[in-house]
Amino acid sequence: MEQREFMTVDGIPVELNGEKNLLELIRKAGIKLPTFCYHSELSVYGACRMCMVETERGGLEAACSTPPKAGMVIKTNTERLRRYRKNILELLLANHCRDCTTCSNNGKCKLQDLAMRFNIEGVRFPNTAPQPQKDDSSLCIARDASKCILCGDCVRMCNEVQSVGAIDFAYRGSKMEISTAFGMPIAQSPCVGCGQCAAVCPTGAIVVRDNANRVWRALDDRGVKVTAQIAPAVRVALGREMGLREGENSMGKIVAALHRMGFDEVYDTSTGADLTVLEESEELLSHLESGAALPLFTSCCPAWVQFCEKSHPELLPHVSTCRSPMQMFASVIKEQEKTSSRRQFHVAVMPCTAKKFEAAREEFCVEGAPNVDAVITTQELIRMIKESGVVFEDLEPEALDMPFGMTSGAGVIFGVTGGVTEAVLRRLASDKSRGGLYTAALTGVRGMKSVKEARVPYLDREVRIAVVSGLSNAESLIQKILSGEERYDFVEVMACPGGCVSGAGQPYSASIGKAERGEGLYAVDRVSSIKRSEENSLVQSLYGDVLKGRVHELLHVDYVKDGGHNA
Amino acid sequence: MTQLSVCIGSACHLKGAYNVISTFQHLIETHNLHDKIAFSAKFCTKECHKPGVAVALNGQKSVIAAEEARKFFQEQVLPAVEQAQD
Repeated sequence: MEQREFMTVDGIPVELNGEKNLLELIRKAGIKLPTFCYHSELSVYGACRMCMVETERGGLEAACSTPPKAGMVIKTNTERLRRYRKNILELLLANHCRDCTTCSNNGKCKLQDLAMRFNIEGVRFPNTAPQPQKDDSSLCIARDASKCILCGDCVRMCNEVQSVGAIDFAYRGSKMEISTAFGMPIAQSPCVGCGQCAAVCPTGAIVVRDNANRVWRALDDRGVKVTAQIAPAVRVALGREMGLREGENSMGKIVAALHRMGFDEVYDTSTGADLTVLEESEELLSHLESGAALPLFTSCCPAWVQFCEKSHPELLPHVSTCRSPMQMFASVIKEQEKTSSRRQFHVAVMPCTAKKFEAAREEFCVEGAPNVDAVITTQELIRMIKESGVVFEDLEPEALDMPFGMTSGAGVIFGVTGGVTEAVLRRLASDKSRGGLYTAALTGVRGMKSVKEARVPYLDREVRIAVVSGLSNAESLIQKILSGEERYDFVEVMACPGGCVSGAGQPYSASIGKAERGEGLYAVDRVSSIKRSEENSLVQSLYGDVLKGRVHELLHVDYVKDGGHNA
Repeated sequence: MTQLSVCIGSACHLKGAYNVISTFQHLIETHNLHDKIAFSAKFCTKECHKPGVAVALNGQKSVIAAEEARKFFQEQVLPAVEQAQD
């Protein structure tokens, strides 16, 4: 018979089942310990000491960094622990900006939650910390050190998960702060704008920049025609915030909400994605034929492009010259509507913070005017809907507008890691039957694994594909490619682990939620009648119409020649 | 104008008609032949039993495998356009 191991938590025997720390085990006993710096998907730091538990002999252990041992006896709620937790909170609050009502993280702040949970009634210590400078240099994130509790989640995310390392701890003791190297504005650092630091920040120290006001001004101006495109990943992430299931497709309601708010025309970025599939497939085919510049890296993720420009400029010639779906679509819409009597204002609703940077890139401006006038994230959209008073649950779903409201399933799956590749595989395959779709799906490109590989036969050769998400995973893969250890023909890179569904502009979700969002996108694909980008007749007709003779000018970009290298 | 058309009936669709269309569109763009080629898609030209996608160049019907679209364009269509010039 197998030996079962137990330890005692508050007098209750709890079985050990391979939990990596006491925190997980105690959760099984029905107790949720307070934490600040602990994050299940980052390495353990053990700085905040909120999760301390008391041992038999009166010793204190941090539950997040102590592995369970058979026979351990711990208590989680003694008088001492309650006093210590309150003290820790009081000290954190002493140096903290307490203007909660005007903070963009109001209601979503862990410090607020725990202060309420522990019924903090007053802070005995005055705030003697010098007021730090806010850092508004980046278009993607805003930093305010007066709200920082030094939990280090942002540092571990940036260094360990993204291997960008733009921020780290600086100075020591009471002068410690989160900083870039030499305190330079974050926009000048190696920061790529992925925003994952903001996604894991428990307070409002790092938040995503808010562009909703720009959009409201355009909506209020009757001389302006406001159009919108909605990214695939957005529609499956409104979940809990709007009273829906995580991963549920709420596109119809989103379109209805935008119509109510005054948007003239609402489109789907999936249409732009179809253009990207057609252009990128041709590019891959011509590279395969000539053997030049392999592997071909995707270019739809602006954080990845910046990562390339700042850390691996030698790989820029390998990055696809295709613009991202958002930019291809915006280019076409702006060009088509050029002769309209009203001024055009195009809004992109994205799960992504880096898109705010991409929209402002000079390469995507026409005569000084950007193709995408404003990028708002899913979170900003939710705020705008709430601000407008519209009750989301009561909305009846509406359809996209014409002339651009035709989409394909291949375009929709762009929002999850492996989606771009699968869409390209569907285009390249000669077998256009339903069986062919299954073949593409089962090549190994689906799923939330950080690195996926596939080998697909094409004519007389095998195309070697890699799909990677998360920049440190991308970095490892790049090292293997540069050293010659691995060879690929096509590599899809998404900066956010799991793909755009995990973008920093999305309402925060743990791994399970991200996987559910991915599944939600594949479900939308299943009910799309047009499965392949080349079958989208609207996109096809564009080639003989607005794109005639201008495909390169409108749909492509040369990052090597024209790119503003930020290195 | 050189007439070029591709069948998009269901049998040809399964054999990759849209790949052919996409490839032809790309090549017309690359070679800047928008004003020299009248390119269109047609519904079922009744070549379903033949092994390939049905295409018609200046009224002459033939079938090509989807992967050979590029070759067909370079070896048949481009010369036809040249001829039409003279």
